[in-house]
Amino acid sequence: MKFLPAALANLAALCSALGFGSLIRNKVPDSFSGIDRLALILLAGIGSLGTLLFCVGQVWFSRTSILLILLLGISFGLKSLISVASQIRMKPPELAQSVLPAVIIGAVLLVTIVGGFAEPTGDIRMDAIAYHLLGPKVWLQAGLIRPVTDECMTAFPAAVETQFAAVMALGGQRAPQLFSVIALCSLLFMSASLALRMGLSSSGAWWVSALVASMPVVYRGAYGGFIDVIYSGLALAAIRIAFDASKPRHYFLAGAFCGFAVGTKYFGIFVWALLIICVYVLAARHKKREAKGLLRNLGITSAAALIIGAPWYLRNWIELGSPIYPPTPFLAHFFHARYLSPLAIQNFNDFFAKVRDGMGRGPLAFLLLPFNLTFHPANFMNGIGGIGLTPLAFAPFGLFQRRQDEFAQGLALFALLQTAAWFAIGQDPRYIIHVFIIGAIFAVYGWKYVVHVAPTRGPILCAMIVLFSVAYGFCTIVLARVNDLHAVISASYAEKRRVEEIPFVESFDFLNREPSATKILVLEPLVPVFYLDKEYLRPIGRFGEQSLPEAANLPFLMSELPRLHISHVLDVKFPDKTFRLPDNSRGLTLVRQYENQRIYRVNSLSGEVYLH
Amino acid sequence: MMARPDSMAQRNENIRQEPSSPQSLLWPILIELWLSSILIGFFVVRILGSQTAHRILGHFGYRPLR
Repeated sequence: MKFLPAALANLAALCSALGFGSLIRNKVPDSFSGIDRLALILLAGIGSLGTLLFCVGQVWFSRTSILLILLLGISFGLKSLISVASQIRMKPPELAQSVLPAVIIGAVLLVTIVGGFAEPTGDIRMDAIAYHLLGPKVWLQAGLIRPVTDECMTAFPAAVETQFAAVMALGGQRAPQLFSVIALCSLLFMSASLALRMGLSSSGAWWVSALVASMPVVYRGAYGGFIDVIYSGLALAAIRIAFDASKPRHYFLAGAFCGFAVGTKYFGIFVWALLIICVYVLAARHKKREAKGLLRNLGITSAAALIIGAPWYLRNWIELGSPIYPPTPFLAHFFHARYLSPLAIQNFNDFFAKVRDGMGRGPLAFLLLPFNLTFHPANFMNGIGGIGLTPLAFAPFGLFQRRQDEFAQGLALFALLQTAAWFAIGQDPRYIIHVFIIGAIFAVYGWKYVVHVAPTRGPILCAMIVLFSVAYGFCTIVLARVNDLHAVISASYAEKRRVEEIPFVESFDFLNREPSATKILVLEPLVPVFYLDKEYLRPIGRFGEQSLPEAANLPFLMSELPRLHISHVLDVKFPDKTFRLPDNSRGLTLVRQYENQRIYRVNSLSGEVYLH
Repeated sequence: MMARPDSMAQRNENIRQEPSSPQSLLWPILIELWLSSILIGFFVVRILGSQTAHRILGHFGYRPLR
């Protein structure tokens, strides 16, 4: 029964996204197939639902407003969606060839569904706990989407996080984890759509989806609060339309998907810019489109991307002082970011620099990327398990075979430019999942080519490569989720895991239960405040964000407790450090003490608190 | 607008016409060598290079280079 609210909340979000997405069906090129339309409608729905929730949430973000928005989406066009789904047909002979990849996809989805019911746990080093789920929780408590000033990463574009908030409001804290099923499905539909467009058969499209589903790097971008799978799906949707666009409405739609990608992740700006370059280069190379008309159409794409992606950046500019927040060192010269000192900006950029170097930055490191991504993915952050063997083994042959195809040229050019940009900016494999999808498509094409050209030993070698690739990937995925799966089927393990993996869980339990605890002051920046169900104030964030002007002045802060309406103070001690508050602080009463944790009650809201 | 294969037959036709342009006997062997090297690389790096393998080999006195 405890799983039902999470399931229903996600079902409502899915139906609503499909409903909103169905609004674009008249803008999709006529030549697009049923699976193309399904993939585009789902991704457009996710993008538009997230953007709408964000815009409405600026003034009203309660369970009622969320429910109204979801119902609006549901009412918008499930009927039309059913007609789109009914267009998806497979020829009977191909069904038999699709059984094995379907089983692989089914197994991965089963792990995702069951694991999706696990409660989020972990410390502040996990992005989900630090900001992906913290933002939604604070927004729901505040009743509107506002910057969480003690955690600068909550100011990132959040088209997916707003949907985490929506399902969290309706289905509790387990619900955002289950959203990974929707995310993964959207990417698999998009992968199949691109595979079919490349000329693969239905069984080929199934195999592309199976290879994608069993890539641990791709899978990592789908769960645990990560949003990269949806971001990549949106990027691929923009590519899918832009390379086949012929009318202004097609270019508008491509721009809309770029805008959704921009509203999901800052790196979406690169997707938009690179896509414009690719469309222009392809048109120039094949002399198929008149230059003036093409520039006008690319202008439409850019305008759509700008308008649809703008809300996040405008909010940041108006409320936080910089459209990209936290600003890069370069942008920091032009924008004054509120709540961030120069040191905090430096801390954030140093943190991001850890992923920047990946496996080196020289030309040789770039040329070795296909090998490093295949054989040494553990050396990248969040890339444990890698992308499997198939892209490196087969994709070169797929590229060779499809070298004359304009669409394939476009995909290859985009993948090359995107990889180069990623190599220069930040080498976390999650950021280029869409490139791995393109690699999987070329891989399946190359696989068919190898079987055709080397019929003696080619088929058995191909079978072994696919077998080891999928098996290794699937085992890695299951190992990564085994604790989640265990926690779902065993309540005692779930409780044990909660106690072991949540730092200071005793304090959170007490404060969440205690009726008199109305607003909690959290003194230590590295406390995972996501687990607090009450309003909190963390004066200094983990990068040095200052949510109050005198945040670093502890005596002054303590004298301001009554004015800040603080009812309790949480003071914790990390190894080799001391508590921040001295013993016997006047005006505070120690009400609970656990290992490395002290909870004080502020004696009187009208009195003053002094530190000895 | 780009040309799109309209049917399965056309796709199959494309596959029949396009591949194997390097007609030499060497080409299939090179492909097989390439695939074999990927498989061998996988076993060496991902299996023998894993911590589990190191633990097992450690019982026989093996110490990985650092």
